Amino acid sequence: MTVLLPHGFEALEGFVDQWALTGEAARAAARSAATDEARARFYEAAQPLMEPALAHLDAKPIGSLEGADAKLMRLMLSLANVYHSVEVLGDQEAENARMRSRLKFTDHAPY
Amino acid sequence: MADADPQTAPQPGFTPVSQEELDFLGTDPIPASAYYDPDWYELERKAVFLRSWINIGHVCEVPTPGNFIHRQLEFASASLLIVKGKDGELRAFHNACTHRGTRLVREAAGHRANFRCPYHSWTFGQDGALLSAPDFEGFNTTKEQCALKQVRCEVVAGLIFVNFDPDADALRPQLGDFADEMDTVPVARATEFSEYTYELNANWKIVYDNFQENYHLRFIHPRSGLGGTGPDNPFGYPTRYRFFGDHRGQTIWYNPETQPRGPVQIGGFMAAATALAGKGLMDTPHGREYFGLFPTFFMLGNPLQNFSHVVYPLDAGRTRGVIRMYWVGEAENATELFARQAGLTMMRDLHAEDIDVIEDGQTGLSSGALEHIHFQTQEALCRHLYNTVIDKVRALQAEAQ
Ligand code: FES
Ligand SMILES: [Fe+2]
Repeated sequence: MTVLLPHGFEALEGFVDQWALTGEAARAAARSAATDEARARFYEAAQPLMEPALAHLDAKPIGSLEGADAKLMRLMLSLANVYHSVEVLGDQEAENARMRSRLKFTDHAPY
Repeated sequence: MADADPQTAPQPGFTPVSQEELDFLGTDPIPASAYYDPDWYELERKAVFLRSWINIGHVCEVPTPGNFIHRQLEFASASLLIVKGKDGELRAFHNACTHRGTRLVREAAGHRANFRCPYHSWTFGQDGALLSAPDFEGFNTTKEQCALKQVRCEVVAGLIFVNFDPDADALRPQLGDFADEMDTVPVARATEFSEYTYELNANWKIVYDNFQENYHLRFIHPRSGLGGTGPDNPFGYPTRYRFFGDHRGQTIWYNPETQPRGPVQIGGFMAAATALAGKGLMDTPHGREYFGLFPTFFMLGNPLQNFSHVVYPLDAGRTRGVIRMYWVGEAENATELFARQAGLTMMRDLHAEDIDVIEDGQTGLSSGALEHIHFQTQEALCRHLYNTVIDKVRALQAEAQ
């Protein structure tokens, strides 16, 4: 069995397929396409692991994260999208998603 | 935020800028047709867009000799090539071979020692000179006469501006205090950026005006407009306005009591502030300024929100926009990368909230139902933009007579 995420972050493995995506545009699209419940489930699982995950990744050179580490980085970057729906927008999320689809990323993201 | 400028630090009991200070802008209603009439737009295109400095990029996109960027400017039907030469100079050219006009470059950016036209192989240097052309003896011209057509190009605070008017005044001297202030903002040292773009069904002034008044903040951004309003200043009006000729700015008021909404937002802010502080960018002296450069550029000095926003008219009722968040240096670690993404998300969500009202405003005006629109005291920057446009159109009309 392949190791999806670094040791200690197994709780997030169920979220890899939906959220460990490459590039700003893909992550933004995943956020908008998800249901409220899916966003909430991901946020509730990932937010308590934010600090340990970033600490784990900070110990490695940021330019060359690979495999499980790169996946964890992408999950954290998705958290840095999804938080705004959960913490700030609340029931304004759907309207915001409709309008923000007009703002298209020119993808530069390293992960 | 860490800006400690005593002149602009938030004061309890906010006092808005008075109408008297802004009387010089006039108080009349504004003719609505300027915001939708295609004939008026055609005048603006000639009087404003073909004669003003337009931001098209940043020096970090052309770091080494031979680097180029290629930009389409619809208002001029122009394709421009901005090239860093061997001599370190940045030059802008029409992306059009001087033989029979063929585009030299199709890609958005790249690196080339020289520019060879695919059609008949005329080859141009990084300085635009025609270096070689097969069977050139058959032409009744000289290589000197066949250099690429150059467009004016100037850099301020790392930002690249072009101007189609060969006689235009240089940009920097027009900017008054803004020029030196902009040099202190992270953008002036940026090495990379994140970008998102849009196309909206609205006149360029309707789009731009939305972002130069705070009157709408509490209605359109009740949740995402973090810190923009507060009990002392319910509309989030600025603490001052400044005008330097065609250019205009405001000093943004921030609510000192602002609390981030949740643990990820808090973590993002703290990480961003730590990363900026590590680069000496947190305590910048002009972090509360909004810099509006006529006609279509603005940016905030706030190091946590150091974005630029440029609008490009497509026609009287359509506008393309480019929003960039500029970063100094690569993210040094995962936490900094996370902080950048968290800030970018917040900014894009905030900008998204304006889209409906911009396009719905256009729909209302384009119907012709209104003869006039109205600007209040605290929409002074919108009024100044309109006044400046009128001045430019009148000047062009006077020259034509
Ligand atoms: S059109 Fe470029 S070489 Fe002929
Ligand atoms: Fe807004």
